Amino acid sequence: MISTIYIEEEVIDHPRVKEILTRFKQAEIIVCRHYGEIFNRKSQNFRFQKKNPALILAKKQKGFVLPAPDAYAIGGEKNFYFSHMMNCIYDCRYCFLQGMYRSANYVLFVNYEDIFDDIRQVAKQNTDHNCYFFSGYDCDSLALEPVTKFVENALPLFDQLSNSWIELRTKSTQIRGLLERPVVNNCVVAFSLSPDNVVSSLEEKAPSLEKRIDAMIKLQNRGWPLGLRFDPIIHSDNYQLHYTEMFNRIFSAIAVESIHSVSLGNFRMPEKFFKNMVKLYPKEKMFADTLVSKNAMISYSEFVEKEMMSFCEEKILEAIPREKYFPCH
Amino acid sequence: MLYIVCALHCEAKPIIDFYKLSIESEASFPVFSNQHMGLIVAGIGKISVAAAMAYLYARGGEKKHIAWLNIGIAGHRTFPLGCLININKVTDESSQVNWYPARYSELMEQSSSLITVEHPVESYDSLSVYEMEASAFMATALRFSPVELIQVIKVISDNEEHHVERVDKVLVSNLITENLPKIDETIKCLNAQLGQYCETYDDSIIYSQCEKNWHFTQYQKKSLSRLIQRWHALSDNVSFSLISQCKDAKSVIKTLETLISRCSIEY
Repeated sequence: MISTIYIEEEVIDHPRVKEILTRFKQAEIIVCRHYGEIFNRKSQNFRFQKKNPALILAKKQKGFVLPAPDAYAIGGEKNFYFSHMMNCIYDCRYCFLQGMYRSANYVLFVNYEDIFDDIRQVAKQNTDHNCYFFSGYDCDSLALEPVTKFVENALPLFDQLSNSWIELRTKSTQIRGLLERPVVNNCVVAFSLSPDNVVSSLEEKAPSLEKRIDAMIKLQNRGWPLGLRFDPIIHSDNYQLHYTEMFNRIFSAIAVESIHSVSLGNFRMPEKFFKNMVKLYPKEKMFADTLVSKNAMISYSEFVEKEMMSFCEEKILEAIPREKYFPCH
Repeated sequence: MLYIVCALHCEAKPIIDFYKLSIESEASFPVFSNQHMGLIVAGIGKISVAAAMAYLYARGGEKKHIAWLNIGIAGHRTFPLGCLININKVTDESSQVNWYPARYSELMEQSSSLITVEHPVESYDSLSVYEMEASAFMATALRFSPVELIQVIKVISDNEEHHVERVDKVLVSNLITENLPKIDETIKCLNAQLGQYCETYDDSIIYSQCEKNWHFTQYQKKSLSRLIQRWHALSDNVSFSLISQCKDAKSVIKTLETLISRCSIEY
């Protein structure tokens, strides 16, 4: 439950702000000049804020659509990402957001139309290519949908863009809006998936694997293209057992025809972010595993990485054709 | 440790009595304390508060985890006298810089923004609380502690109907006394947060045992600290006795690495 809402002066009269406020009548409202006054300030503790994050309603001023990191490709020639929101309601221990941001408060940029204009512009500039727009980079695409209604507003745009795809990346089961509307064929609903033991130990507040599979089945039955994201895969002594069990459950529930893409990636983290994460969670088991630093990135050792990747890759390729498989390097 | 910062002795007096704080020093600033908290009487204005807080912090040995609470009187256009306000935004009128103390739902009964001014105000231009120290308190406290351990509470001593010139020491002490139960709630909340911080981030006792028994270089200290953290994370069987036979710092580190490598990783 959100008990504090900060609102930038500039958007205080924005219709979307007014609508959101009707959902949080008991919340304390604090007006700020710029979201950075709260979000970017030094001397705050992400871990402690995560217990009761505030919502910050703001206007995004620039950088609406940006080129996506290479590892994000799932078949598109041109890849972009955008963030209507920063931070996530879940608390996944391996998530880079906790190392990148100083604050665990949620920032929602309410000027969706500026993001949409930029997406339209980028799509227009790339008419000869198929473009992918990734929405779940700095947040979970669906987890706060009942509040933000971002996806509800974004999908009609993609209905009109023949050369463009949108990926909604999520761990959420907030799919009611998708089930109630016609399918958008160029929208991939991509679920981040981990074995039960990883979900229960490292993905605090996130729905169980079973609930995510149930959500995927419902979307599959309605015809939505699905993405399966096994990224990051997490090492443990018995990882083979846990991942085998997870792959079996998923691939027996989801038909290959419903799968748009499967991606697989190891745990990797910029060293600077990792140091911040260790400071926040000094006694976290996952960070106490044997990890190595290479080119300012923290990851499992090359041996462990290769072993895990090839093990999982083999399992995935038993279930889907290679053209749907996208390893992240 | 919780540090309370007041501008005036008449603001501090009821708190000193309530928590049975003893005078610790009168040299530069009056400082009162008990085992769990310290209180400093800073004097009026931003410079006094910043100087007093730096003095208190240094005097206390620059402790790793400190909670800070600013308690004082303030004015507001309409809030009634004696009303205790938990401050959610502090604006320095001169610089127009804003600070936002942490929010705790149990302390939000009555909250408001605040403007720190250079001189006492006779008219209250906005619907904020007016006073003369909080911006310096926030700027200084944030140098020493995270925002989650910082709170500002103000008791209304003047408004449009009861002007600032009618405020005297007796009234101030009475207003603070009336609010001691609510002040105590804030202190309990801050202490609870502080307790969680200490539990989460205090160095392991094994680290200090190691420092006592062997000489570590700065580089080795860094390795030792992280190795002990990892050991705690991975093993339920963490005990100084497992390394007590080591002959020097180097062998402590080697032994810890071996112990950690034997730990299983399972979720």
